[in-house]
Amino acid sequence: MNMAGTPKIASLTEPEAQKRTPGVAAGFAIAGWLVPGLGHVLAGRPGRGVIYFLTVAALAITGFLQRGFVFSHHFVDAFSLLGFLADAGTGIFYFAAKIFELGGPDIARAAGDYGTRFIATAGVLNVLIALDAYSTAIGEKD
Amino acid sequence: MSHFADMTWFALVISVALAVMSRRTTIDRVKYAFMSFFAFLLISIAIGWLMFPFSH
Repeated sequence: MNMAGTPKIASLTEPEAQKRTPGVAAGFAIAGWLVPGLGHVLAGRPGRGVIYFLTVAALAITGFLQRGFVFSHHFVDAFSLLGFLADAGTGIFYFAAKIFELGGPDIARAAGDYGTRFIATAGVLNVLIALDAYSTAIGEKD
Repeated sequence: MSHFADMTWFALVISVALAVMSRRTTIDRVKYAFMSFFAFLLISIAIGWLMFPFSH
């Protein structure tokens, strides 16, 4: 954002990221949760953003292809709530799960069980990345 | 994928993400990623061998 508060496209490729207000940084973090890495792109760190997107995508898609279990928002106990929160951390990949998992989950096999962990790890990692985007945007990190 | 391939893939991706997040220079990131990746593998294999007696 520039001084007037309007988007400044040129800043996406500038080597020096400018400091943002906490409100704007929170917006970047939410954007980074929805689309992994987008928070860093908006904060002026496009290279990092691309790497983060690829890492979260690699974990989530591996989990989907192994037919891991994706927890629904209709959680019934504390474990399924934690599972939902971890899975929802993947942002758009959570909503795209049905595209990748046409056959549905299959946790009877070890691969399906591993897939569940891959998806949850992708979500937790993305939450960490979103928090990192916030720190980067407010200038705590370079 | 085999269990070992799963573990290796997981270790590689997580190591790269953590290296980019926690280190600032490229050389530091590469060093961190290598260290983290091999630590993942070595510790996992060590734990596997420690559990081996209980599988019989």
